[in-house]
Amino acid sequence: MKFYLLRLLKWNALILSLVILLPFAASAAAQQGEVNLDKYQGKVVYLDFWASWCGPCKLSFPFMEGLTHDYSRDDLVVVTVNLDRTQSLAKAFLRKMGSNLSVIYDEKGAIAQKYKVSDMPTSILIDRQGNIRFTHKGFHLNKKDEYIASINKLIHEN
Amino acid sequence: MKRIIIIFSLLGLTVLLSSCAAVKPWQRDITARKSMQLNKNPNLTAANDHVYFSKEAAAGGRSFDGGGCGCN
Amino acid sequence: MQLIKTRKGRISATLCLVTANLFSTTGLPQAQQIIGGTNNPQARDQSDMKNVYNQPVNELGTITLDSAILFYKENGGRVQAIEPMASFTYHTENDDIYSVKLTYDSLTGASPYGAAPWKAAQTFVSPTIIEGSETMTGASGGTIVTDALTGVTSVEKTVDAYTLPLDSGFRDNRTAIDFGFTTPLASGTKLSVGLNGSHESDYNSFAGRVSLAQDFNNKTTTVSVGVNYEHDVSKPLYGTPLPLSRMSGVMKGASRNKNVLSLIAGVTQVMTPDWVLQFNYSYGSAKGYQTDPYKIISRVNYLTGAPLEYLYESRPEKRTRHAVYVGSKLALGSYVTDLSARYYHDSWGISSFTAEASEHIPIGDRAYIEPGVRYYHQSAANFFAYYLPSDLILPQFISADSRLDSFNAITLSLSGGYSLSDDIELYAMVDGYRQTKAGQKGLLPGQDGRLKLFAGIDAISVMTGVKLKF
Repeated sequence: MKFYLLRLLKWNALILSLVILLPFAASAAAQQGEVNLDKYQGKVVYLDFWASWCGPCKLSFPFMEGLTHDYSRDDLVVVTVNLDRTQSLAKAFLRKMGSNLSVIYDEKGAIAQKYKVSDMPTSILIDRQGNIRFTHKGFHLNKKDEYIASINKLIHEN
Repeated sequence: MKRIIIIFSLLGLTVLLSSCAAVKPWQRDITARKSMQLNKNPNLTAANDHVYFSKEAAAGGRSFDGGGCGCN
Repeated sequence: MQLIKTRKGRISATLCLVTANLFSTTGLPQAQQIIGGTNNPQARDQSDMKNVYNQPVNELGTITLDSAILFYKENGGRVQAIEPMASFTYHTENDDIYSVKLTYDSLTGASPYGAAPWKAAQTFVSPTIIEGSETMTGASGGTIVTDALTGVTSVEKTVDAYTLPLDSGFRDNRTAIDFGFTTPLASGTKLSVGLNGSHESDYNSFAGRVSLAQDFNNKTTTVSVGVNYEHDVSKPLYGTPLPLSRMSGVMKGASRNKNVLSLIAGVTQVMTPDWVLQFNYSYGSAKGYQTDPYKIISRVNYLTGAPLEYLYESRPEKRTRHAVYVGSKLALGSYVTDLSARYYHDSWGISSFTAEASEHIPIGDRAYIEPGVRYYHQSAANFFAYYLPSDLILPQFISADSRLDSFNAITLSLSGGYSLSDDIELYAMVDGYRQTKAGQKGLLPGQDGRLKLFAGIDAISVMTGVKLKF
């Protein structure tokens, strides 16, 4: 009798611990999608979060393509993070835009969560030392000058 | 008075529940769809509203702000 | 349990999980959804790609031309209408929206006088104006009669026995124009203004509106508040009759106005990635002339029901209305279920309940159909009556307009759309509407069941339209 009771307790403990640990495990797995910006140290990073279903994102792509042409790759790097829950939609969007910007796929939104993305799209400017300096919520064509001014500021620092 | 209480408790419930099941800004792909818009066919809505307004006593009801992709 | 975001009290966290489970549409816990991001990626891949109506709305930097035509027909020779409409919308890249809409309404057919039917033929008299050889009437058809003594000309219309008296030859055209402008004041704040005007031969209306929409909770909550002010001028062709005066061929009084102030406040909440919920409260206050200048009521013998005279109706000059509305849009795969309910009450004693349901069903890659059903119930206005019995003194307010009666109404509708391309969409709608008496069927004194008093309608509407995007 005591044997079976012990067995039952062991199983209960196992199940309980799984239930408690599972969310930990899930969140750890999700964080696997982290973006490593170390390789861009010494350069200004324009980190852009977008999705294929976001209207203003369509307008932001020509702007970002322009940035890659207007700035040297030693000064500015444009890294985009795609938040589509279906990767194929994102790829179709990129084909339609004819874009060759670098894309990190963040289907589960872990990177967006980490950078506290609160609007779609969101662009984050990171300085040469790796610090987050500007966060632009949304993309507005009439704010292009403001965006460029922020980029120039970070590029010409030090 | 009772009506006002019901109204505000419903409102409060909505806001309370909303703070729980927080939808992330990047989870708006479905609400961005054409089929999920609150007024996807304005002419149809207007025509129906016009008929009902002229044949029935009631008026008022919906508005069309909100939902969508929540962009910008 | 969400470990990445801000801390919450244990109790509210548990509550959140419980409610999230209740609202989850896919059966997966909401918490997992937030941590995991996707739910059932297989299903999404299959359904998402296909139908055009699953694609996101993309209106920045577009011009939309949307035109449609509505055909409306009531049975029994009653009102028929043809209503073409066209709108032009310019949505700038900065999210400003300019819109103009034109509507034209052509009505023909017959409308009830408000008089009760009788066992013998009845004759109704309306004024007519004769200028030279031209006859101008509020209602055409019928015989022109000149009073030998007074020289007053009038139109006499005779209605058969056991027939609901209908004012036939009712004809009117209405033109309306609407301007709208919406602009973002800041991220998550939108201001909308609009102007509206309509004109028909005996009625003009002007209105202005302003509304503000503010987003909260990462744009998942939208609170909107709007106000609308309307000024209406009623100018019947033969003048405004004195309320409760006798129906006659004499020209009546001057034009009358009314003003309506409406307020609407609402919350739209994205509950889950698949589900949007809306809650609104609307208030309206109308002051001024709200009587229908063409409608009459039969004053009948209180024992036999025989008509003694016809009196022009009378309605209060004040009306306050309240309505509470809740609506829900839920996506299941590529299907969308739309449910809504509205409760209404006004100071004329009318309470109504409306419930609507429709299902958006994708068809192939480019089309959808949407069957729908609507149930409506209203109680009668406290001054509504089918007739005035002769043993009662004249009340201050009384009307036999079926619009103020107690009735149930059901609408069965089918609409659909077909996208020829990303920029051209065709759409159509067909619906059948039927009103049936709610509660005690009215009976004239004498209790003759063949004299049907309920004047509710059966109607069919058909609409087709095309939307072009540039």
